[in-house]
Amino acid sequence: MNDLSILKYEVVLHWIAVGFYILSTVFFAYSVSFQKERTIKPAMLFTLIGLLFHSIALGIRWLSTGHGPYLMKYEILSSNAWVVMVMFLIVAWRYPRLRPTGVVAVPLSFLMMTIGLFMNPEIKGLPPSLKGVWLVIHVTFNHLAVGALIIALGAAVLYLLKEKKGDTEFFKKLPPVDVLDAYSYKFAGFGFIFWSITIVAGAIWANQAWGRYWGWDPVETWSLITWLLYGLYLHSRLFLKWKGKKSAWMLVLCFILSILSIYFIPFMVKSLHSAYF
Amino acid sequence: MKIIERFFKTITKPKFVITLIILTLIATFIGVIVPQVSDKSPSYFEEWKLTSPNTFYIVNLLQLNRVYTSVWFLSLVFIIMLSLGYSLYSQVRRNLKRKDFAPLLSSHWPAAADWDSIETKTVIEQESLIRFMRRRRYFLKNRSDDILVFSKNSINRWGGVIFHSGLFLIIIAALIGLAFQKRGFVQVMEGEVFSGIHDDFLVKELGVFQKRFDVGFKTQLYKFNHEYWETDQIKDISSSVNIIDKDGKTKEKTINVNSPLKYNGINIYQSFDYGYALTFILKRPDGSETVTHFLLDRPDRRTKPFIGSSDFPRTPYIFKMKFYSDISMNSFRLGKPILYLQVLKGVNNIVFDGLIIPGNMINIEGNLVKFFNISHWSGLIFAKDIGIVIVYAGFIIAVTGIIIIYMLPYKEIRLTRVGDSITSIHGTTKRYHAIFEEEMNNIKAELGVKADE
Repeated sequence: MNDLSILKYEVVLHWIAVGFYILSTVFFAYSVSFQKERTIKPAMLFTLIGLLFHSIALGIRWLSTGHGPYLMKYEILSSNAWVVMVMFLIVAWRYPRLRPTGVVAVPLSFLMMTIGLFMNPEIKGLPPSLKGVWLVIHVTFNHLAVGALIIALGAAVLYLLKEKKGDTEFFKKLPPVDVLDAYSYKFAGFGFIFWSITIVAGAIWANQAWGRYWGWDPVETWSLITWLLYGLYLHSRLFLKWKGKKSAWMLVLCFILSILSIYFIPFMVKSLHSAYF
Repeated sequence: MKIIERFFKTITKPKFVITLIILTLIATFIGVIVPQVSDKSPSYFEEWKLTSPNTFYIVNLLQLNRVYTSVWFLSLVFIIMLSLGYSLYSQVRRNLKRKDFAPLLSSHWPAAADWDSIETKTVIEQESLIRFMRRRRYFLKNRSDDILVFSKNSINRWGGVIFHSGLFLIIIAALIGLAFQKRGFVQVMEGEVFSGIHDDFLVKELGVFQKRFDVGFKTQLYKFNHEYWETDQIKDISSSVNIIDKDGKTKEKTINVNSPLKYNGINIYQSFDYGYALTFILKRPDGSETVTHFLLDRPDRRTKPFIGSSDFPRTPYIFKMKFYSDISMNSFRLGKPILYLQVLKGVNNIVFDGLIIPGNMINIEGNLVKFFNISHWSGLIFAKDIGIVIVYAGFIIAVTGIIIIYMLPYKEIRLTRVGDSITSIHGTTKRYHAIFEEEMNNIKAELGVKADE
């Protein structure tokens, strides 16, 4: 099979996965909007089936390119969506009460995938600067950070919804608001850890490739801004005793900025990352 | 002395620390939105100065166009360092003083966590309770006849110290780098020897306290290799060099991307800047000769030419070149090369316009110009940063600290027993209180079942 036909199968599998994620999103949205618990299970099932197709598609891509899915927007967005889905399913399995966070995690994932699918899916060889374990660590932890922050965002959104409409039967079955708030804090903490490792691995990699660990490149700087913002969020919880609504909104702001720094800055400004992303 | 103590206490107050974080955020944000001297050419700022003199004056005065080396930013970093340093000192002192971290006194425990007693049909022995809690990874910290105090993740109290130590080291290393770093970029042609002398670097970045960067050895490029994927991306580039030390001894080494050469305390990195060097000899009517090399930059596609435009030294001519390494115009590799050359005298006066190949000689206003040779040139970065070991240590320590803080929250649980029943379970933690309360509820429920057995 040549590269082109592999590419065709892989893109088709990606679209099938997107289809299942859309179905899952519809069920999650219906469940949260109309407070129907029974649609959570099919939503989870569709997520799982979507992930299966997604995994096969990424596996095919990996085999045909000979490197992990971390080069160019198409691969990065798809692999990031995959990591978010896996993390969400693990959290949903470990903490069943947090399953409704899928209303945030699943649509964000399929959105990432869809944007990626509209990008050039051309198979590209790995440039020499991308050969090395630090890049793998950098990209992996970046994906994990996005996953953890999406789940934290999901918990924060559920907190805000429950606070507003907490008297309905559906929201009563969700964890209490302070527990949702604590989960949001916990996953933001995990996201902060992963983001820190992303920055550190990136700095070590940059030092190996260019002989400097920090160069105030726009993406580096935005990454630092995001890290500082999450640091501010975490400090405000500990020292200023912020919690609840205030913290939930701050997390939403931090999340928007982190997405901006990962996915939009490399598009808008000339950065070292633009060449690979 | 009191003033100093008050100063340090002020800079470690939570609100002050949060203000410092916000100020750092604002500073980095300014660095993103205001064009920086390090990113733009001097002509960009000259133009800015001409078009908006007032704005430029304010920006320049406040050093907003060189944020990361500005006095105010460095002062901010210095205050952060002091704040971190004193915070570390206080935390270490507090942690060392705290011998009894899990007191039996009920005043230590939040009243809200006081629950109904669990009536027991049978006496639950203390040892059995200890085993029960150990299964949940809680370890006995303190005990009396009726009270057992357990804790989990005791290392957490050192998390803040570890994390802040890492940050402290990173800032120290950054300041060391700013003061003492040496970095230089040079373009070397195949066969050429780079002297390693300060003045021969094309671009230099020196720390505040550095005046020169003399490498201490010579570097001769004897072969440059470049390979490409079918899609024109670079597959591999490397420079094979001879390192010639002071005694004239020569060592053959190869420098690859991501794999710098370490020699004599200096790291040599392979740059992504490389291309072809074209050598010309200009012979004047009086017989005098000038030899010059034009270094052309690599295109991103093999169908595009290597491009360069430069003055020919000691002549009034400007050479504009489009060079194809192969006449097929579809290769990065040297095959049958061809050069499209325009020679200008002044801005618009074209004195030569045509195609030439190596060995050709052209006549420009009576001067004979020979396209003499083609070779590769490679960009090499020489760097010496003594802070790098410290920064790596800082990275590892800081990440370890954050993991301890957010993944291993400290928890204490106090079980009080009166007679046969457990009268209360109290707990305390610094983070994720609501989740911890649920955990305590589970413990309580399990203890209830255990008591019923």
